[in-house]
Amino acid sequence: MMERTVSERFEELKKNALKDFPGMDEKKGITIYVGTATCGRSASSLEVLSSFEGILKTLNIEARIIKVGCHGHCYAEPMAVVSKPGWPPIMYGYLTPNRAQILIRRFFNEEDPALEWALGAMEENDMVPTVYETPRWYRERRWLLKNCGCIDPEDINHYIAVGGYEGLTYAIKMEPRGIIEEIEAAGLRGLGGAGFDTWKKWDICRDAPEFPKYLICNADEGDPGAFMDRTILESDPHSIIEGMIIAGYTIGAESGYIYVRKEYPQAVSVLTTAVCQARELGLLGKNILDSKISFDIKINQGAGAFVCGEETALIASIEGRRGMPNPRPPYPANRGLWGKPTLINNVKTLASIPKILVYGAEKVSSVGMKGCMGTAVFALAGKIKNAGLVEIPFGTTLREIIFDIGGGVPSRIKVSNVAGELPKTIKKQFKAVQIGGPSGGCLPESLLDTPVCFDTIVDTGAIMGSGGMVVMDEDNCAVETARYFLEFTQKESCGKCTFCRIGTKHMLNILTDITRGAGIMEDLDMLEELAETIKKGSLCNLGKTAPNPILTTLCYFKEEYEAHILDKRCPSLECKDLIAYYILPEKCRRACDACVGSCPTEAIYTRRDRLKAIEQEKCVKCASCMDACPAQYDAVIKISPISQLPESEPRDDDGKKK
Amino acid sequence: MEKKVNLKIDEREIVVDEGTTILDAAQQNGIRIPTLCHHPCLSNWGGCRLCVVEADGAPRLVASCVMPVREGMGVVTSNDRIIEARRTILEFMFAERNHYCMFCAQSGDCELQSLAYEMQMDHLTVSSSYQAFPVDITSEYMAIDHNRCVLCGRCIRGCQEIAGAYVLNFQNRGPDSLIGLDLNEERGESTCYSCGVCMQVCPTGAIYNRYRTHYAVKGHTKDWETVDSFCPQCGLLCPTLHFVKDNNLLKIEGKLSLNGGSPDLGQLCYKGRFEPFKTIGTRLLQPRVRRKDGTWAEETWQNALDLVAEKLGTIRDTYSGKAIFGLASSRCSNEELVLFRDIMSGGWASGYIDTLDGDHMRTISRAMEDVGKTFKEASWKSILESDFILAVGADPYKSQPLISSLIHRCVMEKGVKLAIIGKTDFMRPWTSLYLSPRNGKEPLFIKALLEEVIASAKESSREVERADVPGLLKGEGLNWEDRGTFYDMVRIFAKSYNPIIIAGEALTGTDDPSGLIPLIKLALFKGLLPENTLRLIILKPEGNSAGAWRLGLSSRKGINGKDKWRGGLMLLGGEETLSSDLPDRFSGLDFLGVMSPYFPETLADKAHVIIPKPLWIEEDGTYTSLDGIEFSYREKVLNPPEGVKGSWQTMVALADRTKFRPDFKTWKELRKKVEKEMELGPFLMY
Ligand SMILES: Cc1cc2nc3c(=O)[nH]c(=O)nc-3n(C[C@H](O)[C@H](O)[C@H](O)COP(=O)(O)O)c2cc1C
Ligand code: SF4
Ligand code: SF4
Ligand code: SF4
Ligand code: SF4
Ligand code: SF4
Ligand code: SF4
Ligand code: FES
Repeated sequence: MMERTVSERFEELKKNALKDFPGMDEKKGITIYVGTATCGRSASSLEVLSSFEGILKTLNIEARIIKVGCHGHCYAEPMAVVSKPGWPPIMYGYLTPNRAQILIRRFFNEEDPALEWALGAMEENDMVPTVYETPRWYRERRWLLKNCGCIDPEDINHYIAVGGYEGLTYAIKMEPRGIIEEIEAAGLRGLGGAGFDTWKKWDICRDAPEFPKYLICNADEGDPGAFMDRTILESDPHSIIEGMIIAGYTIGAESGYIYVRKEYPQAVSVLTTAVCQARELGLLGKNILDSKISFDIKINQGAGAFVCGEETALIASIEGRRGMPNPRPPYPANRGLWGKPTLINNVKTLASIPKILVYGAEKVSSVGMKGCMGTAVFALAGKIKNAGLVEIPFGTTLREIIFDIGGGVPSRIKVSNVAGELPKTIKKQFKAVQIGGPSGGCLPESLLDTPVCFDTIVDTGAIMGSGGMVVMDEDNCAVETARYFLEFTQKESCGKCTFCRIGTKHMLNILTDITRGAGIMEDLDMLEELAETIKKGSLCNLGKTAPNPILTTLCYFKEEYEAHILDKRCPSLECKDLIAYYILPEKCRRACDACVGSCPTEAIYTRRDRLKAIEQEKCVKCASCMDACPAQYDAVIKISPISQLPESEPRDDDGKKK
Repeated sequence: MEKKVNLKIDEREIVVDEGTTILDAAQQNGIRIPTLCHHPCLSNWGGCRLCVVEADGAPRLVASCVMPVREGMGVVTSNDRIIEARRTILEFMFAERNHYCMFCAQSGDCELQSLAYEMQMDHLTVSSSYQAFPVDITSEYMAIDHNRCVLCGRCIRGCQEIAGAYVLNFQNRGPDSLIGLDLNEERGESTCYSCGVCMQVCPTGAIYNRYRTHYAVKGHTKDWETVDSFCPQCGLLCPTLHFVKDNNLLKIEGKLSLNGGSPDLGQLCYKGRFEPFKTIGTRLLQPRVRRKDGTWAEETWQNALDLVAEKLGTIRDTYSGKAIFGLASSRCSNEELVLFRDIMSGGWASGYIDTLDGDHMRTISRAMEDVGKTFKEASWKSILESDFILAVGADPYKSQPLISSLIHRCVMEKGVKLAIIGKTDFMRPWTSLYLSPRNGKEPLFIKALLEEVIASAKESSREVERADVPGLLKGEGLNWEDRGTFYDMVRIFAKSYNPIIIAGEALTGTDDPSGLIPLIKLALFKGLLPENTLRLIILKPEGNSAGAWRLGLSSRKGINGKDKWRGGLMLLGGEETLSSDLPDRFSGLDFLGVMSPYFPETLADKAHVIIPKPLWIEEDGTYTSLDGIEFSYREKVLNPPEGVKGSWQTMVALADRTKFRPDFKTWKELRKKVEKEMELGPFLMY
C-alpha cells in the first residue's frame, strides 16, 4: 500500500521534471550549457555567459542558456556545451567572451562548429569525434561526477530528470539492514580520507541505543589544492541530499547538517537553493514522499579552519565551541553532536549512496580492486597539463592518472623576441607527486605503478586523503615541498596537543634552516625522531599525519636533503637562499637589454665588455630576468651552490661613478 | 551495579568499573602516571599527552587520562619509549616559551617544574625558539604571563566548568595559540570575575597572584603547612585551604570538588582568595591613646584598658547605662560578639548594643512582622535548582560574589531566566529582563509586579497588563520599552515552577520595609519550599550578620541612625571600611573606645583609646551563614603579630576591671554558650 504511494508520488515528480528538462535532446531546440561553478567563474565564465546572451539576442536566435556546474576540466575553463538541432552537442573549452560571439556567429550563420575550440562531442555521431575518445575521458569512470556539468544544480527537476531520487525510492522500500548490507556488498569506504568501511560506521550508529541521532555531511574540504567536494556541492547538490536522506533513514536520524566552509559561498548558495527545492517537493521534511520517513537538513557554515574537518572538531564547531578535536573514544557514532550518536560522512561518500542503490552493489563492486571497490575522485593540480577532477576506478595506477589522463608534466615555453622564430620548448621531467595534501606524502617516479587504493597508498608512506594530487617536476625541491606543507600544518594545528603544536614548529624550523643552507646532518636524525614521536603521540590525525611529507621526502629524496646540508646546494634550484642568478657571458648579447628593464631592483649592470651581469647584493632572486631573456639567447641561469658563482666582472661605469 | 572490567597495568591484575580511564584505574591502585593538562575536578582534555602509556591493541601511544579501560587490556605505564615521549613533551614545553624558573613568580609551586625534576630533565635537545608575549597586569589581583603558559587549557575549563564565567578561551592557532579573555580583552577590561579559579588550577606560573610575596614561595611546597578553614567574609562561608610557611600566608585555595560535591564546586571569590593578602591600613601592635594636642601616643595594655574602664565607669555612674553604647562589626565571630555583648551590658549596663549593619537586619524583621508569619529564608544553594531568578536591589558581585557566579551558571548552563530590578553593572549583560528604577523606587515596581502576578493568576486567560506601569515609569528614569520588559517579567514569573527571589541591600538598607513586604508576598505566591522556607534569599551586608542578629545584637530596637550619640561608646571593629557618616555621628560622644586591627584613620580625631585586635584570620571562632543554616568553627590560620592580644584576652581583662563576672570562665565555655544560643530554634525564623 505504502509502496505504491511512494512510487506513485515519485513518478508524478519525475513526469513533471521531464517536461521541463531539455536534456541533450535536439528536439528541444537550441541549448547552451555554461559552466558556472567556482572554477568557471574564476576563469570569467560569467562574462562568457553574458556574451552568449548578447550575441544570441543580436542574432535573434532563440536558445536556452543553462548554468551548469563543473565537468572537472578546470584546465579548459571557461567551458560550454552547445546543443544545436542537427548537430551532436559539442563541448567547447578555453572560451573567452570574444570567442563565444565568434562561435555563435560561425555555428549559426555559417554552420561551422568552430571545431578548433571544441573538446569534442558529447554523443556518438558521424561528424565530430567525441570527448570520450580523448585520453582525458576514456579512462575515467564517471559515477560521482556523472551529473556534474550536465545539469542545472539550482533546478531540482534536472536532477530528477536524469534519474535522481530514484535511489531514495528504492531505499524507502528497503529495510535499513538491507541498505547497510547493500553498502557492505558494494565495498564503499569513507572517501573523506581514512577509508573506514562505511557500512560499519552506519551499523554502529544504527545500533547505538540513544535518540535523537544526527547525521553530518562533512563538506569542510580544507586540503589546499583539493576541490572535489566543492565541485559536487556546486554541480550536483541533490546527490548529496539524496544520500543524506537515505543515510538518515538507515541509522534513524531525522536531522542532518551539512558543514561547509564559508570560503565556498557558491556552494552554500547552491546548497541552500537545493534544500529549499527538495523541501518544496516533499523530499525533505516530514513524511518524505508520503512515507513514514522524516528528515531535514540544516546548512552550517564553518570558518575555514583545516582542523574543523576532523570529525570531533567539526562537532565542537557546530555546537558553537572552538573547533578543537577531542579524544576518541567515545566515537561520534556513539556520542557525537550534542552527546548523541552521530554519523559523519564525507560529501563523496554520501553522494555515492544513491548510485549504489541504483546501479546495485554488484555492478559497483565489479569495478576497482580488492579492498577498494568503485571509483575515486582526484583533484589533479600542480605541474600537470590537464589539471582538474578525474574519477577513476580504484586500482588505476598513478602513472595512468598522471600521464594518460593528466597529460603528464607540461613543458616550459620560452618565447623568442625575433620575429618569426618559434618559441623554444623546454621539456621538464616528472619528479614526484604529493598525494593526500598536507597529511599525505611525496612519491617518486619509481612508485608510479602503484595502483590507487587506500591500503596501497598507505604502504608507500602517503595517504589517500580526500584526493588531492599535486604533481611536481624537476624544478620543485623536495625539501622545500616538505617545508611548504609543514608550514601549512603547523599553522593549522589547533594548538591543543603538545606534539602537534610545538613539534611541527620545531620540524618546520629545522626544515627552514636546511632550505637556507644552515642545516647540519644531525638535523636529519632529529627530524626523523621528531616525526616518529609526533606521529605516535598526537591527539588527532592532523598531528599524526603532519610528518608524512617529511618522512616520505626523507625516504625517497634523501640525497636532496644531503645536498642542501653538505654542499649548500639545492638540486632543483628552487631554494632561494642556495641559488644565485647568473648571466652566462658567452650567451648574453649585449645589444639586448631585455633583462635590465625587467629587474625590479636594478641589479643588472653593464660590464666593461658591454655584456650584462648581476650585482648579487641587489638581486632578490625574482626570476624576472630569466623569463625576460629571449629564447634565442637564454643566457640567464641559476647556480647552486652560490660558491660556484664566477667572480664578477667590473662595471662599465666603475671609474666614472667612484 | 556498575559493570566491572579486568585489566593489567604494569603486570598487575586490576578490576575497575567500566568507563574508568586508564589514569583513574592506575591511580586507584597506587600507580603513578605523570599528568599535566588533566585535573581531577575538570573535564577530560587529553591535550598535553604527558600521560601517554602503551595499551595493547592501540597501535600508538594513548593518553591515559582520556582512554577508557577495556576488558583484558594490558597497559604499560613506563618504558624507554614512553619516557622518551614524555621527556620530549616537557622539552617542547620548556622550549616553546620562557621558563627561566629563577625569575618566575611560581617557582617552587609549579607542576611543570616538578615534572621536569621528576623526569630528570637536565637539558634541552630541541632549540628553544620562543617569541616574547606581553604580560597582562591590568587586574589588581592576577597577572597573566603568556610566556609561562603551556596551553593546557585548565584555566579555560576551570573558568567554564567551575566559575561558570565563560571568560577564558583559546585564541589563534598553532604556535600562535594563546589563552584569551572575552574577545581578546585584557583582564582589567574583561568580564572576568577575578575569582581566581583559573589561577588555582593553572599548573604553571602563567597566572599568578599579584598580592603574594614571591620570596616566601621560593623553595618547595613540601615545607608548607596547610590549614583547612573557611572564608567568613560574606556569609557564604566558602571552605578554603590556606597555605602557610613561617607564619606567612602563601596562598588560599578553594576546595574544588568533583561533580556531585558542593553546589558551588569549591570556588572562591575575589574577596576570599585575595582580600587576606591585602594590607588595608596601619596595623596596630600596641594600644594608643589620644593626647590633649590631638596626637596619638602608644600606651601599655595595662594603662589603656584601665583608661577605658575608668571612662566608661564614670559615664555610667554620671548618667546611667543608657549613655553607654556598644557597636560591633558583624564581621566578628560569634564568640567575639557574645563577649562584647555580655561585657557591655554586664560591665557597664549598656542599654544599647547594636551592630554596624543593624538597620538592615531590623528592616528585614519589620517586613517579616508585617507579613505576620514566621518563615525561614531559602538557602543560597537553592539558586541552582531554580528555573527563574528575580534579583531586586541586589548586586551580589559586590556583596556575595559567589552568588553572582551561581546565577551566571544557571543562566548559561540551564537557560534559567534572570530578571533584575535595580542597579547592577555586573549582571546587566546576562539578561534582557532588566529594569533600573531610580534609587529607592524599587518598591513601586515590586508592588506592581505583585499586583499583576496576582491578577494574571485570577484570570488566566486575560492578557496581563493592568498596573499603571507607564505612570510608574514616568519620572523614574525608565523609558517606554521597559513596559514590555515589565510584562515579560510578569509572564515568566507567573509561568515559572521553581522561582527564587534575591533581595539585596537596596531594599534592606532603608528604614522602610515597603519594598521587602510585597517581595515576601510575591515569594509566598509561588508557595513555600519544604520546612516552612520562603523562596527568598536576603543578601546581608557582612559575613556574620546572621549570627549577630541571632545573638540579639542587631535585633534590638536600634539607635536611631540619624541621632548623634552622647555619652560613651565602645566600637568593636572588623576589617571593613567604616561608613562615611559614622565619624559625624560620633562627634557628640564624651568617650570613644575602639578595638580594631588597623588604625581607624577616619576616627583619628574622634576616638580616645584604640586597642589592637587580631585579624579574623588570626583568631579562632564560629560564624553563621547568610541563610542562618550553617554554623561553623574555624581555627586561626596565622598567629597574630607579637604583642597583639586576642579579643578574648582583651575583653576578659576589661571585664576584670568591672564588677561583672561572665558566666563563662574559659574560651571553651564561651563556645558552648554560643552554641547553645544558636540552637535556640531554627535560625533566622522571623
Ligand atoms: C585534520 C583533518 C582534516 C579533515 N578534513 C576533512 C575534510 O575536509 N573533509 C572530510 O570529509 N573529512 C575530513 N577529515 C576526516 C574526517 O575526520 C572524517 O574521517 C570523515 O569526514 C569521515 O567521513 P568518511 O567516512 O565518509 O570518509 C579530516 C580529518 C582530519 C584529521
Ligand atoms: S594533533 Fe594538532 S590539530 Fe590535532 S588535536 Fe593535537 S594540536 Fe590539535
Ligand atoms: S633575479 Fe630578479 S632581482 Fe635578480 S637580477 Fe634577475 S630580475 Fe633582478
Ligand atoms: S612556570 Fe614553572 S617551569 Fe615555567 S618558569 Fe615558572 S616555575 Fe619554571
Ligand atoms: S578569575 Fe575566574 S572569571 Fe576570571 S578568568 Fe579566571 S576563572 Fe574566569
Ligand atoms: S594559563 Fe595556565 S592553566 Fe591556562 S593554559 Fe596556560 S598553563 Fe594552562
Ligand atoms: S563568596 Fe563570600 S565566603 Fe565565599 S569566598 Fe567570597 S567572600 Fe568568602
Ligand atoms: S594529562 Fe593526559 S593528556 Fe594531559
